[in-house]
Amino acid sequence: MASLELIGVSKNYGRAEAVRNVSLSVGDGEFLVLVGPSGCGKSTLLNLIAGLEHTSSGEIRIDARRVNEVHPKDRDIAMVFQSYALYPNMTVERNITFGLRARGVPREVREEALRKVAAILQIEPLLERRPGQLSGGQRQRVAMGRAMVRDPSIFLFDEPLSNLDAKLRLEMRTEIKRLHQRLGTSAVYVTHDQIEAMTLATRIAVMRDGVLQQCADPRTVFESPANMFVADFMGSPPMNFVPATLVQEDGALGVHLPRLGQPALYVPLPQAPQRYADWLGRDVVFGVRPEHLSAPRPGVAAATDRAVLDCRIDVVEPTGTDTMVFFTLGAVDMVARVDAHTSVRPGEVLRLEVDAARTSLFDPRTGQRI
Amino acid sequence: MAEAALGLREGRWAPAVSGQRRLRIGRVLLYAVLSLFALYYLAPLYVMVATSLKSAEELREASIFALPHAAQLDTWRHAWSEVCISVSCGGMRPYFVNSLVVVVPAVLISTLIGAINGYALAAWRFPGSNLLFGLLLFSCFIPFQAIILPLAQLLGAVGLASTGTGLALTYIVYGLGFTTLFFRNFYVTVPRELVRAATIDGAGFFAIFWHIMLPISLPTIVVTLIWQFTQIWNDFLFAVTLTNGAGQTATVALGNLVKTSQATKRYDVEMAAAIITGLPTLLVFLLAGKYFVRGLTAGAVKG
Repeated sequence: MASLELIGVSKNYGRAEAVRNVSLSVGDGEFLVLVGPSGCGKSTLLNLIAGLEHTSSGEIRIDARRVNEVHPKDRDIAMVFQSYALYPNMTVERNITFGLRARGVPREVREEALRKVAAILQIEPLLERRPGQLSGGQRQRVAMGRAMVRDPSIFLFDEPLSNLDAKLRLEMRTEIKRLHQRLGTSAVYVTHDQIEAMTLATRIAVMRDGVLQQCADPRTVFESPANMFVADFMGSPPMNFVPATLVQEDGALGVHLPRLGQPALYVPLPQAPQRYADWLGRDVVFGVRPEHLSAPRPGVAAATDRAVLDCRIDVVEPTGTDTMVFFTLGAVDMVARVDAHTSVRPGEVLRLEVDAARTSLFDPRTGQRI
Repeated sequence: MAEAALGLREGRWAPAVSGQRRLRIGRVLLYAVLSLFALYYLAPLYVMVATSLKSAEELREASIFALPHAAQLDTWRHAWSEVCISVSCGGMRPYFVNSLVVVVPAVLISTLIGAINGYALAAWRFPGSNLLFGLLLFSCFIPFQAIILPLAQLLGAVGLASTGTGLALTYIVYGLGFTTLFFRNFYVTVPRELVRAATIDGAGFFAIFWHIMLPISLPTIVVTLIWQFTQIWNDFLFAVTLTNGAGQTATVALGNLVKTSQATKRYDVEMAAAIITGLPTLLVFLLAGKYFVRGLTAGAVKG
């Protein structure tokens, strides 16, 4: 187990900047997920940590030791790749112990380590097979075994689940989480799948165009996104953005949401933080997650401090666990995630409550959170 | 597959008979043409073998396409160990051995170096690696005639003129373009992650090459071995220029055998000698030919 620190790390390829001045740290036993759309520099960052590529500037420290010039094999890390990268000519056993052989670990120690890892991953019956004879999930396990067998201080995962089918991906996701809980080894995990990021991470680092957007625990990233990009990228369906004006009514702050042919809709923000006051009377972007627009249960009176929206529903998408309803507010397409038992049909009007405490305001010019 | 698909469709549509007949006629025509070409290609080989087995009398009287009456294996023995070539009368054997001594190391060494080159160029794309590869490829297109004089001078200057070592060195160097190309083109299809995984596992440049890259490139190795063996064994130009006398290779000796003036022209012996000279490449292809086809198409199929 170890800690990892990146200080102002950049990577350029000629003039193209793949990673720009990224600083973050991973504490002992933490599970950091690097997430972002393809080409955002997350995999490059992982390769920099692994030492497979050289940093253009900045410093990488593992356990407070500068490792910029340290060869990958001496960084005490292990990596699991998207394609698994198993050695096709070797048996599973040889694949797992290759790193130990390359380091001249004595046979008894190797066998002991192999036995332990094989037991944890339940791959004992596969040890004599070659990668070509394994299923996708089995290959994934072997790749994990190869990483685990050296008992590294940090695990690096490069989109390890993206080659699996949907069902297996869920299984392996839980498996990885279970392994992390059991081994407690620090991990850095790269994915473009925001659900993977939410479920696995103890901390999420969202990246875009080589720039770190936000690095925080999953709940903070989800509920208090640092900017509109993070708000849009995390969550499925993404956050609704409505152009609005910050106003004060009866001494309380709220936003006016414009509507077509009707007076603006007032949504009070009862727990508005002090910093909102600077934006009084100015244009803002009001952000609310589909999860925070809910249909009141039948028979239960709407909470008095909550704003309600009466919306004409265009499309209803039941997912089984809950139902997505699509509607338009002013000129903006919106979506809300409501209880699966809400009975609503397209064309009907549904009353939705806004959970104002969990909404966000953004600067329309910079997209930054206010 | 195509026929099955066609058959299915014809089953569905009632007037299938004429379509089927047309298909059959097409097939017959196709095979007829193919057979004709095969015949055209195999006829010289047949004439060679048949001639080598005929007696002098038969050769004079019967047509060259006639079957031999009785196999005269004596001719082969004569060609192998007795026939006079230039001034010595020891048959093809010493020259055959010369060829082997030059060809085998040249094939093995050029293949090995090609594999290392290809691996370095594909897996460790260093600055300038593409330029280097381009220059190496360029060597595939240099006509041998153009460089043969300076080459002979160079070998003379380093004291390797008219030696098997000099000839082998020439073959190795001139083979590198192709061997590197073969291996490089295979290794670029290998995911880079494989090398990265091995790097993190602690394997160095050569450990990765020996333990991972070389074993997975078996079809490419076979292709390269066959290619190099055929090229080098069949070479005449370098061999005739860079060796002389007792140091000559089989192809050169074969030429000399035909040129050596004798009382009567022994076509049977010449044919036997030619077959002996050509046999190794045929054997290599028969033994490893399936890898050859597989290896040549490997990159294309995997994409």
